[in-house]
Amino acid sequence: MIQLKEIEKIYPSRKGTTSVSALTGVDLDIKAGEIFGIIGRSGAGKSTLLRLINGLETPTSGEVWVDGKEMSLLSEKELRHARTKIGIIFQHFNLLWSRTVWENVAFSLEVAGKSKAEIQGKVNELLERVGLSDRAHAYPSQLSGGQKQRVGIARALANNPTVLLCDEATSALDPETTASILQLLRDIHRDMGITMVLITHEMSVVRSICQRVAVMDDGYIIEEGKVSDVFNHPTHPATRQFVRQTEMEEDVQGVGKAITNKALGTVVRVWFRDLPSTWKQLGEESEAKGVHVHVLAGSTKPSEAWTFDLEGSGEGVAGVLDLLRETAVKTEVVTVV
Amino acid sequence: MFNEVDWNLVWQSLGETVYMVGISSVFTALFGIPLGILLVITDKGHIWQQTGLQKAVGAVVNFFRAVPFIVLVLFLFPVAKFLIGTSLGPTAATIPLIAGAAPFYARIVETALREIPWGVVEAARAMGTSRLDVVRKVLLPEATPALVSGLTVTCVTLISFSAMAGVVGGGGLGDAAFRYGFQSFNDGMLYMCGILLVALVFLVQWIGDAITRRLDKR
Ligand SMILES: Nc1ncnc2c1ncn2[C@@H]1O[C@H](COP(=O)(O)OP(=O)(O)OP(=O)(O)O)[C@@H](O)[C@H]1O
Ligand SMILES: [Mg+2]
Repeated sequence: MIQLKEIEKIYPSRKGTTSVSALTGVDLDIKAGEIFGIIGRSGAGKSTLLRLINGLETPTSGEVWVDGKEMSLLSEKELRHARTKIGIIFQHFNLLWSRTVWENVAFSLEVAGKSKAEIQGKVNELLERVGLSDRAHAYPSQLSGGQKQRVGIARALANNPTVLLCDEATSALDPETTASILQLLRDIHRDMGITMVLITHEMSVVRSICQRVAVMDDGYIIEEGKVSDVFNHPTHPATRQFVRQTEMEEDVQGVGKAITNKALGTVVRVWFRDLPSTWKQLGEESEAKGVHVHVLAGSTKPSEAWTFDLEGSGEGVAGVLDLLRETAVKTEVVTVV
Repeated sequence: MFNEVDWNLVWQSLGETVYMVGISSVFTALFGIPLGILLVITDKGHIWQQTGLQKAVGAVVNFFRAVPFIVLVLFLFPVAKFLIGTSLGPTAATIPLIAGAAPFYARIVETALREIPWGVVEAARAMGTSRLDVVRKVLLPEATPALVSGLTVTCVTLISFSAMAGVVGGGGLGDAAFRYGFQSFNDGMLYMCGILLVALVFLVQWIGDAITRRLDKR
């Protein structure tokens, strides 16, 4: 369905900047009907790759084939038509503020030259599909993030595309909303058999929805294959780091769940400002108040939280919490026994 | 003080001012909006990159903005004479008014269009939208509240410009204030015209704000 052949993309230098090699030697073959993930750190070249697929960028060298057509050989008109068959959704939704939900979805049909009657029926059907029929006449500013993305999805599907591109489509959403949007995408994939390319920097997203994945780093595809193979047996150091990082994040969340039954006292997550000095104070304070501090999870990175289980009298624990709240960047009580 | 006011003259002058400002506002929008659009879409990386054209339009706009309005009035006497047949009266005065306000408004339009997040334009392009449709269905509707509030500002500027143009033969409240008020030692006339000009500005601003608020869905 989508083939990238020996793609090279260099952004030429501008005043004061050197030229950027955004993509180097990229070869990719995405099959019809599959959900393909592309994962990589910020600046790895993911968005650039996606923009090649719908012709918003042209490669410096190499070929981009979508649905049997080489994108760079298309005339302006053919390219526009091809684009109506490639839906795309974005991290920041990119809806039109001046249009209602209904009108936003109608937009893609209008620009594809559909008749009024056709638009009418199709928009209603799409809004039904994404579960927003009752919000048809609301403006985007009156919607939640998840609802906005549903409008984005309805708009992207309006012209019955064969490909759906998702650029960090869930990155601006909370975990629960992310799950519901991913479920919607899964349902759409099941019903329409559409080919999906999903860009993300979250491994959990790839794990939960993709069949195959390519890992990108610094403009190269460093690893590619079935999701389970790539993540269970990462060969490239960058992939390994991804996997490790995700496991750590999951650990912390897992701890949050596990302790609900096992905790001996109050579980808190703490983001330290100055670990060594607070650590010392924490030791003294807990000893004075007769509170037992169990470390459930720790980290050497200042941006990451420590998780403690504070066991002791209600008053003693409150004293320790006060200390933490005063000295740490953030203190979050997870559970209270 | 106001018993010396020639009310007939006041109402006639008010009519002339409204006429001058009204006509000029319409043409300012008619010229300013396309110029503003051109300034934006021909820019580097935008939907219709035309570097030469962009520079040329930018230069013309800057030139007309740089010339002081009163100089523009004198400068455009022959143009008014050629187009309207006379360089006197409110209709002739609209020529320099438009020439002064359209470039000013074009820059406001440019700013308003640039405020639209680029992602929205790209999303439209990615959906197969033609350039014309991007302008008609994305840029203009998304910027409408800003275009209206910008036109309000321009309209207020036009009112003060029109008073100046009036003094050199354009008619209207500025002319009346100067000739029948100031030069005829008729303070009532002078102040009355001034009060009406201020009231006009308040009215325009109030209407503009109300429309902008209604249009803004953000
Ligand atoms: N229009 C452009 N001009 C110059 N350089 C660009 C342009 N677009 C992207 N780049 C550069 O190309 C590289 C890849 O960018 P890209 O946006 O594809 O990364 P990404 O993987 O999508 O990152 P993120 O996760 O932050 O969205 C980066 O170094 C970026 O600075
Ligand atoms: Mg990106």
